[in-house]
Amino acid sequence: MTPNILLVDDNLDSCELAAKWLCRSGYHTDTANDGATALALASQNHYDLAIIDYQMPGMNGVDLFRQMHQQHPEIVGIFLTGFTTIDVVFPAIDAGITRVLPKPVDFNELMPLIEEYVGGPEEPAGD
Amino acid sequence: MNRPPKRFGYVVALVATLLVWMARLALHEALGDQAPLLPFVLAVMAAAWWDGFGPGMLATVASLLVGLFFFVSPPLSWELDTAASALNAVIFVVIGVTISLLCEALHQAKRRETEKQFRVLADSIPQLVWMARPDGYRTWFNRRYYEYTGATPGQVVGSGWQSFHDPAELPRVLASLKRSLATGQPWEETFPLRRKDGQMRWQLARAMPVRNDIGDVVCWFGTNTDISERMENEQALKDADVRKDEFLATLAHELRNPLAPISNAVQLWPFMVDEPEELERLRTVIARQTQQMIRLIDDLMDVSRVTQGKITLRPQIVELRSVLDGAIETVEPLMKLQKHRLTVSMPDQPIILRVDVARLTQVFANILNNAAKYTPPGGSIELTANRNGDHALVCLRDNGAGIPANMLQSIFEMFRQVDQTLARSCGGLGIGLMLARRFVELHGGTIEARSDGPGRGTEFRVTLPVLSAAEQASSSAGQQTDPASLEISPPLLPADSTPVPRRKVLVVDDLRESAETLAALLRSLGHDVVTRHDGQTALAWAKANHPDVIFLDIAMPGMDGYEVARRLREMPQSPALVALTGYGQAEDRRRASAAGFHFHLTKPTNARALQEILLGLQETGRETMTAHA
Repeated sequence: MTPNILLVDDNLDSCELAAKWLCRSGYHTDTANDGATALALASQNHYDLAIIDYQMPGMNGVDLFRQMHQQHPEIVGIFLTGFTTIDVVFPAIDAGITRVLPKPVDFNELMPLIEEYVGGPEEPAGD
Repeated sequence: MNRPPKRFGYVVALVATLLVWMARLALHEALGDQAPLLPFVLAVMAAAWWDGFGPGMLATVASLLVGLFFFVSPPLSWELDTAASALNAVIFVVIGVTISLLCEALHQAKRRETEKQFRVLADSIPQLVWMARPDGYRTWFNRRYYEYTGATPGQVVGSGWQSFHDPAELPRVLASLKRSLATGQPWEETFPLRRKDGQMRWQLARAMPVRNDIGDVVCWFGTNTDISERMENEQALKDADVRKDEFLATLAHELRNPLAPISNAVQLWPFMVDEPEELERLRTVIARQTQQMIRLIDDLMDVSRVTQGKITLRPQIVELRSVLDGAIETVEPLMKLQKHRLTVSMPDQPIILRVDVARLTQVFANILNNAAKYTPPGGSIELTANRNGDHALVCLRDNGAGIPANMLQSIFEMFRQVDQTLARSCGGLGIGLMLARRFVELHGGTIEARSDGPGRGTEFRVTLPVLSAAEQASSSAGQQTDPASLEISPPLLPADSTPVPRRKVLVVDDLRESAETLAALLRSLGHDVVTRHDGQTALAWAKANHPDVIFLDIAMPGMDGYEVARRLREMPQSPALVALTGYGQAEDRRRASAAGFHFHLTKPTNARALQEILLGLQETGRETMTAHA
């Protein structure tokens, strides 16, 4: 089954373009621009992977994933941050996030990770 | 005050007596029995002069015994065989006692004078001064000490001073003092000492042992210096350092933030080449995010200019409403995204100001942006402007996060954000309000923040001097463009199509990518463009091909842009020269102008600025611009 991915980023441009990339790669992708929307989506749908930005208004990425992970322990988290400092990375790992990547993300680096964690799409979308 | 023991004075008395005895012996042949005791007056005078009554009396007694024994008849006996001998002895004793008493009086007067001077000195210095016995018992305090503590002598003498110390710190202070008293080493300690108003202020105490001639400690002399202010300053410096580190981390993050969508767009680009709509969408994203980065960097440049006092305003006469409209326009997208309700209320009568429109727009955009950022979605934001006498008052009220009372002032300091975690989640460099305040103050206005506390909304109040009718009339005639405003600033999108004739353009930049992108932009505007990557080859090409315009990077290895410009200006017909730099400071423009550049552009440049320059070539003619620059 094609994995479902939830992409959370308050930067609309960034979020839209990353989602475009994931969709073109054949993944089912939903997007949210803040923590509350992300939690609402996660309670309605099943996601295999959440790719989350750290800095967001309201709730930061770490707190968001912590809540998501409590409700859905099987979900895998990839965390994107401009602050790859210990005070951000450590709480992220502590919240159950599998991988922290510095922003801006290199899709060529991201895609193999997604495949490794949740598998590839059933029918990769051709270009 | 204690006096040192007079042991050395007694030694002087005995030595002087011995010396006089030897001299009298040597002169005995010549003097015979004449003046048997008189020379000993010298010994008494020496001893009494040296150290007053005690040594003087010792010299008197010793001299009397020696003189009687050796020189008063009968010789080698203490007996007095004649009335004259007895009278001699009595007179000598009277003289000895008198000299000793006189010298003692002199010594005491001198001592009193010294003590008086000491007290005047001790009372005049800002430090608290005290003296203690060798066992630490405090005997004396200066006036400042009593003024500072509000104590009476009875409350501090002895060990009473300890009651003005912080009980938590006192054991440490006493332990180190005890060590110094035992070893005789100078004492140094810092501790809080209660002032009469109850405030504990930090003191640096230093005490030195006062020793007598043979090295015994006779007393301790100590001072306490108030170092609270210094400690506060040190703490402020440390805080500033922490804020600077946080700022650098935030800066790194804020610069990466727009990079993320740009990077995404670039990675998607190859897959979209056949879809013009998608490509247009990617281009818009890149343009928007680049603009965001330019704004951040502009803010940073402003901070540098503001802190160095290098900001110059370019005042224009405008209506307040147009400034506010400009600011509202910049924050509208964020307001919409956050679903805030913005209500604007303006007075019927226009309020006319003489202000730097760009700077003031920046100020209002900043506080509007803060209101949008720190107010939860769906918030209510009110902007009102009124005239208040000779001032305009602009109030911006929101029902957002609010500001704790203790932060209302410091939010206007550099790198300050109310809550670092909140700030991280909302972005921003923490320099906006600092800039806002400086800009408002440069205009002769004020800015203040009011809030009933966290969660209870914030109100920003900005006042600005209003232009009087007379001032409006007198200055409307003389309004002109600032000659320094050669620099042409954004928007990023190409200008509307004023036809510009095709130009022969040379772009010189050692960064190939920079040169090629600028060349591509110029070609897209219809010009013939050649690129070169160093000064030498650029000069050679220019001399052979006579371009109309040369865009020259300043910072190049080898021959820099200034040098290239100087040599190009030596050509019979110099092309128009445009300096490209990363810095837009007045000093950079001045240097560029001195080197012969006609224009100065701050990188990254944009299509409109390029078009305006190329258009300017046609409209005004090069020689005019040279004079203008």
